Amino acid sequence: MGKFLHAFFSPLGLRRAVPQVWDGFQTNIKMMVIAEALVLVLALVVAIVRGLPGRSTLPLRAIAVAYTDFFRGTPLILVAYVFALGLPSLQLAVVSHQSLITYGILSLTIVYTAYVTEVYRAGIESVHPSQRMASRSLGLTYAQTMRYVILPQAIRRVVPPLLNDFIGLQKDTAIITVIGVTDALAQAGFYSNDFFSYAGYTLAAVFFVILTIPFARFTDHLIKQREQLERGQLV
Amino acid sequence: MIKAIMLALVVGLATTTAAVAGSSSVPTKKAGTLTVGFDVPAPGFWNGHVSGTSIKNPNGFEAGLSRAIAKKLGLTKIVYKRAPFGTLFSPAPKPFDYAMEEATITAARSKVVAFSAPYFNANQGVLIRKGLAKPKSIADLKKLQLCAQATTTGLAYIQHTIRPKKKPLVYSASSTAAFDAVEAKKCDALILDVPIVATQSRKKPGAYGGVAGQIVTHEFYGAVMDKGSKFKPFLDSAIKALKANGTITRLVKKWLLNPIPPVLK
Repeated sequence: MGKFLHAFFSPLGLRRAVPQVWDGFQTNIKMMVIAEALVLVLALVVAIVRGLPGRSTLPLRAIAVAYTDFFRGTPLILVAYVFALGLPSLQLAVVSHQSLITYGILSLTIVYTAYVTEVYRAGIESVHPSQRMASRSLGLTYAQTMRYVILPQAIRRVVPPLLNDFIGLQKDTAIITVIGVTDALAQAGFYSNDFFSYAGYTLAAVFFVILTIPFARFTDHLIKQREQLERGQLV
Repeated sequence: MIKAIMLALVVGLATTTAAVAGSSSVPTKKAGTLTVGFDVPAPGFWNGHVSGTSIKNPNGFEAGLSRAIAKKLGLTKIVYKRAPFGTLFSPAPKPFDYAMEEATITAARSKVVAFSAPYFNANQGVLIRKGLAKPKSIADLKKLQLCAQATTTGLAYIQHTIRPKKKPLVYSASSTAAFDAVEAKKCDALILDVPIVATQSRKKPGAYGGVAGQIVTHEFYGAVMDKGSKFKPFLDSAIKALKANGTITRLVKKWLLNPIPPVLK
């Protein structure tokens, strides 16, 4: 027990690891912020494309479906390897000359966009079809219907699951360590190697938790608020 | 044909003179700056704190050698760039002039990257248990209880070349288990890369009987560069010069092997 506590929770080990693990954690934060911003926009685009009406848009819809099916089922670690090791070796003009962190952000974005697309789609489909018909009969175009009627309601409904996926993304930035990005996990590994102490890992875990807990509480708060609102309307 | 030979001679002459002069005309990726690729953990080769994609105040064998190379080539600034070992052997353009990451020179790797002249003999070391009489030859090793880490050159060497009388003990997962076996005297001699056993022996004084010797494997570490790198002749001449003037031996003694274990035949 004492050995275990010493290995993972030694106060000196924890304190000494702070600057090093924090140095790496900044990379995690950078990756998650950029990837989340990109996912938020791209997933909405893909979700809208998936829901386009008419036979002429079939190829676009097919591409969107194929993309979500493929990347939702592919492990992130595999995508990261393919991008970080595969793309540079092709020696193409721009895509082969990015930094490892860019490839990391790219893989996070591509994989998580596929997930979040489904979340958005669920939200869009949860808006009753009668609303769509009503707005079209009022003379709104398809685009206007989406912009002013469907999406505002859909997005509000999917905020909690959306935040949930973002918590997943935040944690998964640690996977990018495998391609050689010096993130919190990598730094914790170097630390344990230098000092024979696992306190670096404990500290990295603490950093991740500190970041996700406010997110989780915020999600809870949103769910509660909406429940109250909906109940209020029912009475 | 004669014309081609003449041309090759002229080019060769030009590159050697340029390399010797060590002028600012060294074709580095960034003029006047030497960009060195590294990866960690590599105790003894690269010590220091990694920050972002660089390393702060690095020291160790390969770090010291890089400083000596920069000095030799007249480059005043060195930039360190973390290039994970797993990304080295691909035709991808490299973000560094060369990387020193304990990479063994092999024919297969040479197809996609360029290697510098060898700067280290990647021999196998013999770490013996406490109280054991030092083996003087490979024939002496035959009689001992040997051990190795799974899937290492050391194990292949035991099985194919030493062929001991007793079956060797093989430890999978990590080298730690193998070191523990030597410390617990379950194993007489562990065969593993010489810098690894030497570092471990120094880290835990009194636990082992020391590094009794090294076995020549004819494997060498070389710096990795882009295939067809224009920097290669400059690096090669610098490494050769540093080998000739004893700098490399001094760095090996300082960071890896002190004293340098005798070669067992």
